[in-house]
Amino acid sequence: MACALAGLALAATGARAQRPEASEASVKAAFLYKFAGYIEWPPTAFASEDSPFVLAVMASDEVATELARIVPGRVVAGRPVTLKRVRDGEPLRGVNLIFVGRLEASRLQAVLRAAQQQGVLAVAESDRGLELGAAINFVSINDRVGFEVSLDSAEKSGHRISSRMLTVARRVIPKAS
Amino acid sequence: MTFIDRLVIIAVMSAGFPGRHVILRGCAALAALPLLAHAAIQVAQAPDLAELSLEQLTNVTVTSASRRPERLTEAPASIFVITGNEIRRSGATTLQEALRLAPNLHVAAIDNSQYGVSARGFNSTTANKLLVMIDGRTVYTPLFSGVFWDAQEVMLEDVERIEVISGPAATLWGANGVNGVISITTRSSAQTHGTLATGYAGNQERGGAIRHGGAFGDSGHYRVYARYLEIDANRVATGTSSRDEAERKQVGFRADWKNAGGDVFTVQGDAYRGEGDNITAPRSFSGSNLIGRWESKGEGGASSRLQAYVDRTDRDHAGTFGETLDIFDVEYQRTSHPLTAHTLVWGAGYRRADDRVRNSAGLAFLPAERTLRWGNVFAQDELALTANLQLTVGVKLETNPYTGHEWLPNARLAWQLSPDHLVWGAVSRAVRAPSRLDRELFLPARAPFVVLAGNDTFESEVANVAEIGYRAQHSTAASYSLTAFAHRFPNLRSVEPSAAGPILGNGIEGRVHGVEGWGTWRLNPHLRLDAGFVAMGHTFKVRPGIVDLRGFSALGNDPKRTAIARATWDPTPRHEVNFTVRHVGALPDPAVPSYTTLDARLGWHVSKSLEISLTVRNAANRNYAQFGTLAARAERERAYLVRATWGFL
Repeated sequence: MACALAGLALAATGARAQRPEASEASVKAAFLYKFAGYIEWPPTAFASEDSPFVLAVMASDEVATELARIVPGRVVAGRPVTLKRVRDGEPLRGVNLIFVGRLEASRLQAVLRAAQQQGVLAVAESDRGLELGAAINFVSINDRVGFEVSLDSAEKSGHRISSRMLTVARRVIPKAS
Repeated sequence: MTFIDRLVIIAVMSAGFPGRHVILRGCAALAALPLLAHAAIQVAQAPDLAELSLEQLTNVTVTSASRRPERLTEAPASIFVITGNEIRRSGATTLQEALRLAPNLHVAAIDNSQYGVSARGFNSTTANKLLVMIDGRTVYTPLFSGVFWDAQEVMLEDVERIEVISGPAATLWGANGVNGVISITTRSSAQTHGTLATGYAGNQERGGAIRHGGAFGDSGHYRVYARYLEIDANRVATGTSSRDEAERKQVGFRADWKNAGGDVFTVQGDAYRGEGDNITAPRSFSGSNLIGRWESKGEGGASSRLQAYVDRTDRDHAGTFGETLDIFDVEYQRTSHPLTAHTLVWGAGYRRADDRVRNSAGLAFLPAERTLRWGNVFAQDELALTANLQLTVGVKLETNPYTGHEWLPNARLAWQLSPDHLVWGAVSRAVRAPSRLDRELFLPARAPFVVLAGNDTFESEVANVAEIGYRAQHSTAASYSLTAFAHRFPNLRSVEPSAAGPILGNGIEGRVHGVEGWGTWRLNPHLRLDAGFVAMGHTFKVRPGIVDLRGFSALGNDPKRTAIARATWDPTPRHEVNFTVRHVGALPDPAVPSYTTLDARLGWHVSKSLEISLTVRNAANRNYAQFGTLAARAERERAYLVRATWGFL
């Protein structure tokens, strides 16, 4: 039977390989770009009519590298998208959405809080990212990347998230009543 | 039942045929052919992920080419993954109990220390057809090709995932992966910064652990941990104590860092000590290990991995046997894409064991001191035949100190019916090479060997396996996996008469067949249901011309049915509730009645850094036993424990 399989393999001629498979960083980068289209961006988030939409990445070279491939030529909320790499401690002026990679939990919490206070929608990839203050958090289960949403945190940073996005989320923390 | 009782029973088992290469011998050469045949394949177009919808993105399989376990998870095979979060929410306090989450494993405890763990049959406390690894370190003993489960612990809070593969996975993983592989992976120390302390106490056990992690240098991370547990004795059926109180202590560390080129280095190690009593005699054990690993990602998705470790185990079973075992192991693996649509994995490994057994009057491993060496080379190619058809062919050549060399080939075909539906089939030849027990065990220690004499002609046990499987994902809410399998064993272990006394041979033919499946249904963001089952059967017969003295029950003691169902519910963002129902069918010999048991856990995140939980096991409080003889096996009563965990989980 094995020989039959191998023979079959040789007989078949190749076409292109297109299994849905990619690196974790590239999937997260694609998610980050897609998220932007499901979020209501308050007009106050932009300094002027022609301010770009600023996507920032902290503490993840891999995701920043993948995003750099995606964003050229893309438009969010009618504005061109630009990518900004920020370091821990740098101000977030002009940033609309920030992805924070793996940081020590207490540092992560501080960064997420600062983002929330400055009206920046924050995305994390920590096991307890939502509890630490992220509006969106990536979770990886069985080799697939999913995400969870805290409507409470999103509201605090001044954002509304579309219900279509919530149906795909693995977990949704409701607004604090 | 002590280890040695078990040895005697096994001893009184099977007979010998030279290992036969039944299929695939000619196909080993074919394995290399696809590499040459498909140079002209069109350029693969990576899907533009940014064009996918959110739903589609959640279905993209994530691969990390440098790491074998993740590659295998998306391979066409029967794989169940236990996540660290599921372990936490199960309330498990030991690694062995956490393994019960995998529907494709039969986990059976005689008492607190003696466990039988197997996939697809042949279970016993000396089950020998499973490969078990903790962070790449193979933990089965060359003494009997099985695992002393009492000595295998990890800091459960640091476990990233446990992959349980049922069926052979020998090409990439190694011999002994005949019926399955358990691979336990802990998190990188980059993910375990800060301090975590956890403690629990209940009516039957107490324990705790502390871990601290942080950063060093520009890109380095580290953690250190210590854990302790003690378990009280249970009772046997007559109501007297099963005397199986147990105590285990363990410390360890892990450091990960990168160099300027992005290569990842890991150094980790553990040291442990423990003891456990049982109805016949106490046992104690200690050990330590040190692992070094280098992983490098190159251009175009290529990656390399080099790992080496030393592992010492000391073990003493009062009055019967003692052992000091030193292992040295090194392996190299490279993954590359030499041609479009091909993924080639190849590598080599070397393993050396210095085994020093302290014999007793009742039994002897002769010679008492032995150095054993194994080596292997392997290659596997994954080839995209069409947009949705993928072929994997691989072969491993392994040398062992007893039978020289063995070939382990496999071929797998995966057909992606749609992005969410996969059909796969596989044929494999797997081999369990002889252990010291098979060839060098004498009972009693001096002639005449009325129970068992060593036999230096015992051959490798061979398995020829065919599998067919189906995996499906329905939206993001439901997914399931079904696998049908048939294993043929031409030369299982028998016990045969000889002039020197009974000897182990390869005189039993066996067939094992069945189906296994599991699925997940996410009803809403707050409630998830998981269920799984195995239904299997076997037939054994003694080969013509062979006299078997012991009977088939020596091969293992297996239920025909097992099933598990779990509910994972988050009633509020701060509360979590879990229910688990497990059913294990009756075992034939020694007879153990079937049982169904309910476990529950309630967790409460009091604050961002404090979690309190209550776990109840065997909530219905029906006493039941899992394995072993009526006189020796512990019966389980209702157990509860309260746990507090402080830190960032």
